Amino acid sequence: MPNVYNWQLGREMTYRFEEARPQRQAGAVFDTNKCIACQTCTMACKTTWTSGKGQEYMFWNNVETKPWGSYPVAWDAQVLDLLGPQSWDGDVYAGKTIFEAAEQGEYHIGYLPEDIDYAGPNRGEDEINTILTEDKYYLRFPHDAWFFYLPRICNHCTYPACLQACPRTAIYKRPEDGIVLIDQVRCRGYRECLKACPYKKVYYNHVTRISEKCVLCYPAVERGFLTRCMRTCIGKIRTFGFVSPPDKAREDNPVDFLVHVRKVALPLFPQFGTEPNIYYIPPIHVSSMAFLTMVFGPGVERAIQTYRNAMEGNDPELLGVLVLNVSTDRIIHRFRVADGLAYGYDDQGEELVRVPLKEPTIVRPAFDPSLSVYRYNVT
Amino acid sequence: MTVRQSPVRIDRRKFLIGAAGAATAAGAAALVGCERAEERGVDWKGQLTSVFIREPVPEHDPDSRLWEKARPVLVPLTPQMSALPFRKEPAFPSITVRSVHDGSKIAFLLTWEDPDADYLTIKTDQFRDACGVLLGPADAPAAFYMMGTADVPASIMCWRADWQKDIDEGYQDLEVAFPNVAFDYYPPLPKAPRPLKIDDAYPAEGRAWIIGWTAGNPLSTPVKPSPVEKLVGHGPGTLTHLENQDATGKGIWRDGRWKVVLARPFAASNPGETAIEAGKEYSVVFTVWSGSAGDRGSRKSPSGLGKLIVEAR
Repeated sequence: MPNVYNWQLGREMTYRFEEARPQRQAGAVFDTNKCIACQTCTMACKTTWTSGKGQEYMFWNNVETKPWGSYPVAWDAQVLDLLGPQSWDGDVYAGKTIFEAAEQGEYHIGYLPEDIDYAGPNRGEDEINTILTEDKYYLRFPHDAWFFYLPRICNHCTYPACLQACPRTAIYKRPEDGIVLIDQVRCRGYRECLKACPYKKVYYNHVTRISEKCVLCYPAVERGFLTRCMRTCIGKIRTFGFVSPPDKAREDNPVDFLVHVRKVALPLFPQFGTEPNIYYIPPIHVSSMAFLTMVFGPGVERAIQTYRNAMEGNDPELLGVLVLNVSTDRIIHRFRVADGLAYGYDDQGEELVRVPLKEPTIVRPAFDPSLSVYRYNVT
Repeated sequence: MTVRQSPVRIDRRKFLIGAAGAATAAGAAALVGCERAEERGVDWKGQLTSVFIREPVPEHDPDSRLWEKARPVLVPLTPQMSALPFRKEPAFPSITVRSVHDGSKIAFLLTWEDPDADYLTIKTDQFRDACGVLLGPADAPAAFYMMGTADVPASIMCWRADWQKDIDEGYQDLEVAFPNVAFDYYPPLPKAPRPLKIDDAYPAEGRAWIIGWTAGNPLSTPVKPSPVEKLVGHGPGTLTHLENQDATGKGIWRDGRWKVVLARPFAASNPGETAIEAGKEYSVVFTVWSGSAGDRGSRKSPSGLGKLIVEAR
C-alpha cells in the first residue's frame, strides 16, 4: 500500500490510494464553547436530506454530549478499544492508525453497528462526567464536573476510511471541493463503509438497501452558500470554508487562520488517521486534559490558552474570525479586522458582511414620544 | 430475518426415527445418506457438462424432474483471498451443481446445505444469502476467476434471496424488519395494506425521497422483474449491472437446503457478454454468499475456475 502524508499525525502512514488532495478542501471549525445542543443543525439537516422512508434513524448531523453521549451508542469507545494504545511523541503520533492496525485481509479495523445502537440518539445528553457531591463544583474553573457538546457531521476526510473500504469504489472524493459522496447507482449495500468509518457517519437505508451519508450540502456549496447545518446554527459556532494543507495555509482564510495560524481548532480523533476536515475549538471549562487530548490530539492546552487569550480581548483577529461565524449565508473566503470591525469577503473579493467585534450597547429612552408610549428595556 | 432450523422439526425427526425402531432407523438413515450422497454428486474435477434436453429448461422450477437428466457434480468452495476484504474460510465446503440446456437457453441448479435462510437485508447488520454463476471464454486466463479481467469480461448471473422474497411475497418494506414502526413524517407514503402494492405505497410524488430508487439503482427498486441479475465484471470491484436483463431463476429453501435455478438465453443481449453455443466449451465459476455469516461483496466462497462443456444438440 502507498505511503501518504498525514499532517495531523506529523508523519506518513499507509493508505490504499496515493495521496491526491483536492484542488480545495471544504471544511469547517466548530466552537464547542458556544454550542448549546439546541439541535437546530440536526433538524435542518433532517428536514432537508433525510425525511424519506428508510431514513428514520439517520442523523447526518447530530449533537452529542461528551463524555457519555454517543450516536450510534459508544461509537468512539468501540473504535478506540479496537485501535489499542494511542500515544503521541510531541506532535507526532506514535501509535497505529485504523489503517495500520488492520488485520491481514482487511483494509482497516472497525465494527458494524447494529440497529439497536441507533436507538438512543440523545443518550447521555447533559450528563456530567462524575457524580456530584456536596462540593461547589461551579466555583472552580476549569470545572471538576463537566460535560460539553460535540456537534458531528461527516468529516469529509482527506483519507476517508469509507472510500478506502468500498470494494466497488462507489465512494468518491470530489477533486473540486473534497466533498466525499456515495454514488447511489454503484453502491450495492455491502456496508463495508459503515464498518470502516470510525466516526460512524455512513448510514444504511432500510428501504433502498444501499448506504447514504452527509453530502455537505454540495448544491449550496457549489453556489457559494453555507450548508444547512451551518447557516441555521443558533449559537453561531460554525466557521465554514476551505481548509488548506499547512504549507499552503492563507492567513486571511478564516478556516486556515483558526486551524494553521492560531492552531486553536483541532481535528476530532486525529489518531484514527483519516485526516478529518471538520475541526473543533476544544472546551475551555473541562478539567481533564487527558480526555481532551484523547479526543482532539496533543494541541489541546495550547488551543485553550489561545482561545482564552482572545476572549480576554488580546487577539482581535481571532475574535474577528469568530464573530463572523454564520453572520452571512455566503461562504467567507477572506477576512480582515480593522477599526473594531471584522469584514468577510467572497471568492471574488466582494464584501459580504461586516460585524463589530463588540456589539454596541444601546439604551433607549423609556418614553417614545413618536408613539407616546413607555418601553421596557429588556436587553 | 434469519429462519433458523425449528426445534419442533428436529423433535419430529427424532420421533420418527425412534418410532421406526432401531433396526429400521439404521436402515432408513443409511438410505437417506445414500440419497444425499447421490444428490451431492461426484467430484466435478474442474469440469461440468450442460446436458441437452428437448424440453424447455426448467428455469423457474428447482424441483423439476428434468434436472435428473443432468449428472450432479460436487463443486468444492474455496476461501476468497484474492481481493480485499478476504473471506479466509469458505462458508460451506461445497455446492452441488447441475446444468441443462435446450439449445436456446442454459440453466444451472445450485444446491447447498445452509441451516439459515437469510432472506432479508433491511436491518443494518442483516445480509442476504446469494449465489452466482460466472461465465467466460474457454481460454480465459487464471485471473479471470475473480470477476473477469480488464481484457476478458466475465458474464455473471447473480441470484439473491431478498429479491426472491420480494417477488414471491411482495416488496419487503421497512415494516417487515420493524413491525412496530410508526411514521407520520412523510405523508406522501401512506401505510399501505399487505401485500404491498408499490403504486399505493410509493406514489410518484413520494419517490423523490427514495434516492437509490430515483437514481435507478437495481438493488433499490421495489419491483424486481427477476430474482437473477445479469452483470459484467472486468476484475475485482468492477461489477456492473447490464442494461438488458433477461436472466431468470428461482430459489427455494427447504429442510436446511437452498435449491436455486439461474438461467439465461444463449444469445448475448449486451455488448461484451459471452454468447453460448451448443457443442462448445467455456470457463465457469460458482460462488455462494452466506448472509448470516456476514457475506457480501468479496466476502464470499467461490469455486475454482472450471470448464463448462455445453453438450451438442
